[in-house]
Amino acid sequence: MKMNIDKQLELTYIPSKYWNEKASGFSLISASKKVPTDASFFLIWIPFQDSEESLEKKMQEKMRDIPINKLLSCTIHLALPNSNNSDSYKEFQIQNVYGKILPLLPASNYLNKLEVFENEENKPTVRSFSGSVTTWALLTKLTFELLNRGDFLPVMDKSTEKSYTGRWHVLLKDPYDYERFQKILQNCPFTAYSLPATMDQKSRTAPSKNELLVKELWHPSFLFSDYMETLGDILVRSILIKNKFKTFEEFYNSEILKEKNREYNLSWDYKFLKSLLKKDTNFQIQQFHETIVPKLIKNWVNISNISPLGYGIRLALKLDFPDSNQEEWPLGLYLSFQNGKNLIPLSEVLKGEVTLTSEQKDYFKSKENLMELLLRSLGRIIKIYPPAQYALNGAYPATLLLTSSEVMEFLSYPKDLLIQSGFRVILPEVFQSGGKQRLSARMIIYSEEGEYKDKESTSSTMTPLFQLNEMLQYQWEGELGDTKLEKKELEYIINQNQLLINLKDEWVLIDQQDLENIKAIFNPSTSIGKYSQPEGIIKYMDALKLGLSQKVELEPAGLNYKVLIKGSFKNIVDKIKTLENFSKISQPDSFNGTLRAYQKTGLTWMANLSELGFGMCLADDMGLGKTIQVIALLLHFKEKYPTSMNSVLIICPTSVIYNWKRELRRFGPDLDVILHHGLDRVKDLSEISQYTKPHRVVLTTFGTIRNDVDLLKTIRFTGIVVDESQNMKNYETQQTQAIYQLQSHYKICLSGTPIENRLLELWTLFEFLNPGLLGIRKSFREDYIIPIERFHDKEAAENLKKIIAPFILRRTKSDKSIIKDLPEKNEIKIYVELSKTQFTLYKKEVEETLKRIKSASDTNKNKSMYILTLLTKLKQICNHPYQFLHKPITSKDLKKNFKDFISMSPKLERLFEMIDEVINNNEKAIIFTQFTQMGDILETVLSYKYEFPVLYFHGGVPAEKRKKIIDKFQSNNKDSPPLLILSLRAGGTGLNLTKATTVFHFDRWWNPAVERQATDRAYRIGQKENVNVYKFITLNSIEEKIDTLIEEKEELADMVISSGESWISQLTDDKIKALLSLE
Amino acid sequence: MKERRDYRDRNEKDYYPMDKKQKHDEVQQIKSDLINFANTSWGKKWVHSILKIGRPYRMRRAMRYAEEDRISNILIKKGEIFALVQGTAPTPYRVRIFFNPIPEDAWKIIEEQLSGNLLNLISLLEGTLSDTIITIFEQYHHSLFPDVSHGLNAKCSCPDQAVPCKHIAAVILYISRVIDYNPLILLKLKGKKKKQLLSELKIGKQFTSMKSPKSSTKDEIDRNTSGYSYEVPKISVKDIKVKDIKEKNDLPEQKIDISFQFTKPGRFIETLENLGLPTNLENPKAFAIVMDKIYKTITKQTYKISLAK
Repeated sequence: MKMNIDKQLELTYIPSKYWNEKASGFSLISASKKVPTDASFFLIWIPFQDSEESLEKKMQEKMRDIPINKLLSCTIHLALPNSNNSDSYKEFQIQNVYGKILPLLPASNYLNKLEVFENEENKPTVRSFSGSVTTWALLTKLTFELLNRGDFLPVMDKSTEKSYTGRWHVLLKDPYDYERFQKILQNCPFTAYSLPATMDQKSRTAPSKNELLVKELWHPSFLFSDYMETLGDILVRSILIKNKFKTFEEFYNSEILKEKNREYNLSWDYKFLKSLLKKDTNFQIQQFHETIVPKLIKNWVNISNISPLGYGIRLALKLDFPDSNQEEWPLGLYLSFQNGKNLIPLSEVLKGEVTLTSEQKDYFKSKENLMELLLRSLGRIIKIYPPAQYALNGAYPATLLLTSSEVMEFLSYPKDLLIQSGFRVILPEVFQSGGKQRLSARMIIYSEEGEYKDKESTSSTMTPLFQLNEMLQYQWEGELGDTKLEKKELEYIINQNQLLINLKDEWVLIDQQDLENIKAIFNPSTSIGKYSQPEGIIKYMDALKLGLSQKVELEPAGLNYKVLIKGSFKNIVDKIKTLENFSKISQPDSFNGTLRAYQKTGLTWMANLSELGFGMCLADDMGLGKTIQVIALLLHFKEKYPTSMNSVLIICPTSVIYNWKRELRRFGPDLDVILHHGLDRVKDLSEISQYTKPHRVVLTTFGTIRNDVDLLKTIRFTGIVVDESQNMKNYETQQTQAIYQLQSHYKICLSGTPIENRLLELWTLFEFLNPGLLGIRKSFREDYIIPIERFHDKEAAENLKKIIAPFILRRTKSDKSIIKDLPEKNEIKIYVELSKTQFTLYKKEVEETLKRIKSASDTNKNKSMYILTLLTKLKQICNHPYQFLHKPITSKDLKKNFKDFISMSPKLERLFEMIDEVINNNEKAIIFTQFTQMGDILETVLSYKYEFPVLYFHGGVPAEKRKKIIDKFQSNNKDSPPLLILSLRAGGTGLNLTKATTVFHFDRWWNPAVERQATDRAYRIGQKENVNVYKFITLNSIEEKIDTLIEEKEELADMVISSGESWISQLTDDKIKALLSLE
Repeated sequence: MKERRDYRDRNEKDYYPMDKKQKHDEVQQIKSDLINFANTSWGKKWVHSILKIGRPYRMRRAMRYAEEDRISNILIKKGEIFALVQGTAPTPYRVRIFFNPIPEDAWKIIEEQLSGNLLNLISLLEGTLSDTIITIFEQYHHSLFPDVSHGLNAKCSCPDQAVPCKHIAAVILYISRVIDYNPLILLKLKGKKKKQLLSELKIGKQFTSMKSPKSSTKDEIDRNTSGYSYEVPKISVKDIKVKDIKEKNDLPEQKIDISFQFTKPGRFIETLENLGLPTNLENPKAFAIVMDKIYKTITKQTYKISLAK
């Protein structure tokens, strides 16, 4: 039995040192091609699979950006767990693996941009990458970040006795970088590094020729650092070449000439730089005095290692306040152990006056080693801060005494440089930079007009306090710590132009960079960015963005400044930030039903934001009643502003328009609803008054909007509601552009899936809801999309969250506060209409049967048989015409007419939309049907649409397979199929399907008991989440009518339970006629 | 730039008599050229102390040898320099030059003196031989530089029996360039290697007892007839978490909480700033400019590349 490793694409880094050895079994398949001997590369492969075809197929699917036909192929030895023995994974053996060679440079570009991060709420599994791909992508991103920060060094590696190679090394010097490296290491699967390191003939039972056991693999930490170093070097060189780097040639042309003339006394700096920049990386030692050069370079680059003395121990410079009567500030040298908790004067250490603990001594290797490091570090201090030499002009370090102006000089530049060089600089506590005393500036945003009035009581119209295109004022203030600086104080500081200032009898330390920025901000003639004038005006949406994120960046990726908001603008921002601040709205009297607690919250939220003129997105989970909340909102406004408002436009997919209509009638009978849909809709501007009646609800579809935007954009609606707003996720589409043109006071989007994780879609949506809030598309992409999606930039993500949070409300079924409001089984009816095809078939069948009954005037028994047959036929028609006509459907047919096929049954269409939501939320669903033919159709169509296998459990499934299907569905594996089709009868009892949180009854078994039993397979003990149960009902059809009948007459229900479906045939003729008519 | 003379021309002129003044001037010129062969003050001082041996014209020819790529296999140990010099014969001549090492008891006193000033030690380690240090040695009558007042103790395998012959002189001159880069070689010649010196310093005595850890034994390379072993750090198959393999299919894969941030590079690049310049550069200014440009290009371009569409 083969082992059950995922057949995923794996990526393994193959260093030149590996494949150049015979033991690697490396063999290039592509004829007459060659891999340069010093080249390392990536191998793309699939475990236990060596067919070229399957590898290429998978690559086309998952790595679309890689041009497969350009890649060379090879076979190579990798170590894999023993496939013959699935119980023991402790045995690895050599496998000859077929794979594609991906050179490092294109690979790094691909991996750096690869979006390997899964969102908080998982994306569908189809796009996910294997652990090895993720591992190498993360290492690539880390390498790029280090280069971006400038954390790389030129070094000289020894290759032979007299020759060295120039190389660029990336540096992991920050503890945070090291931590991330470790994290990647700890999470990587062995497939990322399955290079055999030690192999051995199988000792006892060596049966076959080449069966080599692998005892050890290349250590991943070694392989990973080797990759980062190799990649760093390749990137630096290639980037310089690509950018036509000429500085070297310009400054060393005399040496270049010399070399051309074959002169030998070339300067070593020239030779070194050349080895770092040119193809020939060799540094040949030609003259004896050059033998010192590698050492010299080693000493030089070592300086910049963050901790010159070894891990956990540093040299520290400590500045103290002057003694009471003196003017002199002592500056002393110390050794600091373990993050500075322990500080010992260096002179005492050297004199031996302090005995170090053996633990402290363990930091050093030997005396000569320590002395060299120490002396070199001290030398480094002198270079950065020359006055330090006066402390070192003796056998032991002395304490320097600095005057105030010398302290200023020390603080102005050497201090930072010392810290950056790995030394600790300890200042008197009040000076700690970033602490309480920091000089900074803050931006104040305010509106000019009077104070915010709570207008709710007086106003009879809905007018927002601010218009979206309004301008606000801003001005900058100096700030010291958290307190405002008076203008005079600020001017004093700027004019002093010094870093150590005695302000109000207190020494205040100012950061050089802060001082410069502040000078720039308060100088009206300089501009370092958008809002860097001392005062000015700002667009309302921009102000809102800054007010919500509470910070402003003057230049991209630059320093952040605090933002303070004032006046009525502050009131608004504060209000929308917390739901609790909103004035509570109770259920409108005219609402025909009862709102659950969280639905009241939703109503409150929407009503308040709407009054302020904002757009919002209600993104509650499917089944929580978004439609109802909107209806309650419409009623609320109708009650509150009976006359002054205009109409409301609701845009939804065609498949739900009748559902909307029905729900509006049921829960808001007071609302006046008009359909703008179909051929007989209003098309003329002269009739537009129909759409401008107060509180009239205009229902329309996405498709209609696209065509009628010119007509509808002339109306200023009070509100626009976009249901299933994922339909407007593409910015470029005509449909989205059309919706952008509509005008209204407030805007509401409804979505059943989280919207905040797909950033481009989020931007597109917000451009409709609150245009301008997220900035223009280009800058949104640069500031948020790429940093977050590609690099998981947390700061950017948090900032964005702050800005959008007030405008998105999402509750999930599993929220604790929601669960207690919800019934465990949340039954929801979904109403759909008949398509034209269905309508025609339906009518024909009904007429024929009625005729037959009439003409035959047969016995009751025959009559009831006719009716039961008809009932089945009608149900089939409601499901899908193909089912009724017994037409087979194959995936080949679907390739041609998938859309047509779906739209032939609005029920199917709606099911698909809802399944999309289920899958997007990473949940699982069961679909019940009582017809095997329908089950077959569903299986074919769903399998065609989704990439995962669709499970299908029906009467024909042999007993031994049944358990397997159930196990697969119940598995926790991330690749476990999320959909199960169940034939209502075959399901039997005793099935445990608790992984499903959604149950669809595609057709109805008019027997509540049977339906309940089916539903209970998902809802069982052990189910932790609430279950949504959706029952599809085709409007005006037998499905709707019988459903009403059952609801209206409870006593009937009991009868139903005992007698299956046959009760229907016992109804009176009139009743039957009414049931069958299509009205 | 030093002006290079064509020595062959000058040599021909030697056949013609010159007046005393002319000759004196020419010798002075040669001496100054020889001294300027070295770059640092102590290098020059080395040449200067050798000049006392006389024979300016021979030294001048030796300088040409030293500048060409004729000297190899230099070995410096306590009291002795060894080198091969490619002369006119096909096999190089073997040159040995002897110096008097400083006796251990004198070293003790000198080391005590050296310990008395951190600045001196620092500059020595950084490749500078300060006058203060030179004076310390001379104070105790043990100059770091050769005393040739009684001739030079040296041997060369060339037919010319004179001391110094052209080859010996070439090596001596060449050494001035070597100590330009690393003056610690002078101390080694006199009997103290850097490591010894550092461990014998008066300061930091409490560290003296420390032993340097054993150098870790190299990975054993298992080269059995049928197997093979790479010389790399390894991980035993037994230590690979079984979870990696077995549970992969049963558990949702763990999400790694890790993030990256790219910043628009500013004026200040920390590593470059910390790096400064290496010592003994021949053209520090050009080197600094090239490095600066490299770092600016890389930080900027990686930002661009990473955030590109």
